[in-house]
Amino acid sequence: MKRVAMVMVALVAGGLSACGSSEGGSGGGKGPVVVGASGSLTGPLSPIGALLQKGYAQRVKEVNDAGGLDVGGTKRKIELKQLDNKSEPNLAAQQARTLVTREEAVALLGSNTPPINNAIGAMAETLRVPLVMGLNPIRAFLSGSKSGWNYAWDQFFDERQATTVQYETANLTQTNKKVALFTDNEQDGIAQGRLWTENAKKYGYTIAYHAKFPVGTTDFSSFIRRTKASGADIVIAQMIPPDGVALWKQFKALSYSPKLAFCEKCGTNSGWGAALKSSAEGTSGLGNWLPQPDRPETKQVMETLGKQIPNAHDLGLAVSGYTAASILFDAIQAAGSTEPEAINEAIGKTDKMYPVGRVKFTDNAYGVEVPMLQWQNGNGVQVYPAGGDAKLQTPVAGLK
Amino acid sequence: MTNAIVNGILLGGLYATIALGLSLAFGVLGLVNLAHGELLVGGAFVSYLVVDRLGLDPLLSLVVVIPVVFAIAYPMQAWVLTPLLRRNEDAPLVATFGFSLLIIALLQQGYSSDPKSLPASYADAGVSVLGIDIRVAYLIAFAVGVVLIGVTHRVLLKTRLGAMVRAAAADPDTASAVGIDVRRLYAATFGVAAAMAAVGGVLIGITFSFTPTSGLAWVLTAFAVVVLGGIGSILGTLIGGILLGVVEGVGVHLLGGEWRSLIIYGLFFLALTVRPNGILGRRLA
Repeated sequence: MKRVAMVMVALVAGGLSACGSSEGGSGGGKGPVVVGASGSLTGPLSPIGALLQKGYAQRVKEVNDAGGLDVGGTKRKIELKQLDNKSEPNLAAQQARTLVTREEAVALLGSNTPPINNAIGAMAETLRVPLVMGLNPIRAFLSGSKSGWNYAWDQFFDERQATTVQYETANLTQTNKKVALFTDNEQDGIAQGRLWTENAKKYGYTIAYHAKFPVGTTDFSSFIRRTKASGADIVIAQMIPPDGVALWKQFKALSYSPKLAFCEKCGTNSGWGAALKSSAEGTSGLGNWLPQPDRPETKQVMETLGKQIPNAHDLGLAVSGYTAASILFDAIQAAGSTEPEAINEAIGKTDKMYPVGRVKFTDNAYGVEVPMLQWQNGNGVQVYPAGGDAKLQTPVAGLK
Repeated sequence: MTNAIVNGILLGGLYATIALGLSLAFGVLGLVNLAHGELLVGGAFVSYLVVDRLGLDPLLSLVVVIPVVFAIAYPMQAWVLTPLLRRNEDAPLVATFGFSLLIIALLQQGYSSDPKSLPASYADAGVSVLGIDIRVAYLIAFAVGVVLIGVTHRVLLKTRLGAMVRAAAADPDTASAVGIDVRRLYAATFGVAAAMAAVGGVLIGITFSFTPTSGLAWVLTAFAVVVLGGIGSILGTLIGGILLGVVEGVGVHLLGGEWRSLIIYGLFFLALTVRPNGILGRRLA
């Protein structure tokens, strides 16, 4: 019995983690410029981490195929050192240190979600090395440092804007304006739940029920019964993908058929459609990128990443990584140096058009404009802003 | 409240199923199997493969899943764990941790970490009985759990094979002296325990979702169930599962979902303190 208790405590407290590592590298001289990234290549966030990595890899390939970066008159290739943080913030922070101190990375690229990105950001601040990230909602990013960020830079959607997109998408159809929220206890779940609640009245909506639960929850029966009792026509959820899949199956089993259902973070990559099949139809979720077909940056990305990644949700995640890498590499060229301080200063001066728009940082953050996508025929299609791929379909087809 | 209690009882049947193999392995082999969660998830992945390739229903896929997982687990015990057990009591614990990491790595390599779910018409179906909404998947899981536990209990208590297992669990040296092949019996027991875990994995795949790393969360729940019911007690596993399901359901109903983990682990530590041998005590069957 004592042995079981010890094992249980060890499992709960420590989790099953292990470190990854890779060899060698230098940021100085005429050799390659080493850039580090601790990515969620395994663990629950790996579907997102793998796409982010694709974006990084594409930009690295483009730069290296063109001969490398012009650093103070010398062409130098980029070497991207990538470690697997297993979707764990503490491991990500340790790896950021390893990448800088052992692998001699002159700058870092981010990972995904606030807990991991902010952990890497804190390490970047300690080491005074620039870090450019995406996939970290701006408010969660800004709240991650009480004294303000100096070396960490974020380009992703602002939760306030995202809230607007959700409610304005809901305005596209007739509902009773009652909303049920499902948020887990991760940093972004808490922050987003608060914003939806605070802004509901402004858009004419009422939060009829708010289910709060820890990550890893599997049985949602009691929440669904209360949601049904509340009469909510709209569900807005923010949770990790495995929990979201379980929730959607239970919605259907317990005959809850909302007019609109948003699943943020959970329903925003192709794994959603693969796991739920027809039940995924009609689920809405923020896209990570609002393509502007007339812009050359958009055309270039569609020619490369767009051909590799057919799903619109997935493509947006990869574009976020592509943009982060582009900003960092441009800054290294602009600095004409691999000195972290010089690169950091150059990032701060960024004012250039990228696939996600004209990036110019304020308080180390840039809010990316994002669309609302809805799962239709197995793919995410743009339903907001109007003029996108398709019209919003209601009620949620997969939950009928 | 009635909804929460009924739901908790049915969910408890699923909890009992996922904990049964863990309890059996501990009761017979004295082994805390840290790879139990991964064997469980591994069963779900084998079913996923069978469903995908052969188009079988997930429950029918058990015909393939059970022997496959048994065949994987049997040599794990025969060639690694039993020899280690003879040398050092704690070595097998470390070895199962190694198996756990190995299985996760293999599953991630083969399937990525995207969440998976086993498709079936009853997976997202529900029925209403006397005003209580019930998931069909919960009913199936409960029924499977009760049958599995009943059969295991009966085999252990009423059959010659069960008597041999109990003899080997109580005193392997004496059992060996009277002609019982303890090594094979241990391997078969571990194989059966793993196959039971795989059944639980298939039920989880039908009812919820799974990823290569979701075994950890389920093994924690399984530990809580066996501690509540009594380690090695087969019937205690059913009682522990139902108790955990009901306390969780009622707790969430009364206090809110954010208390869920605290309720489960609070109950676990309370049981360890007040009844360290569980509700039915520490015994095999």
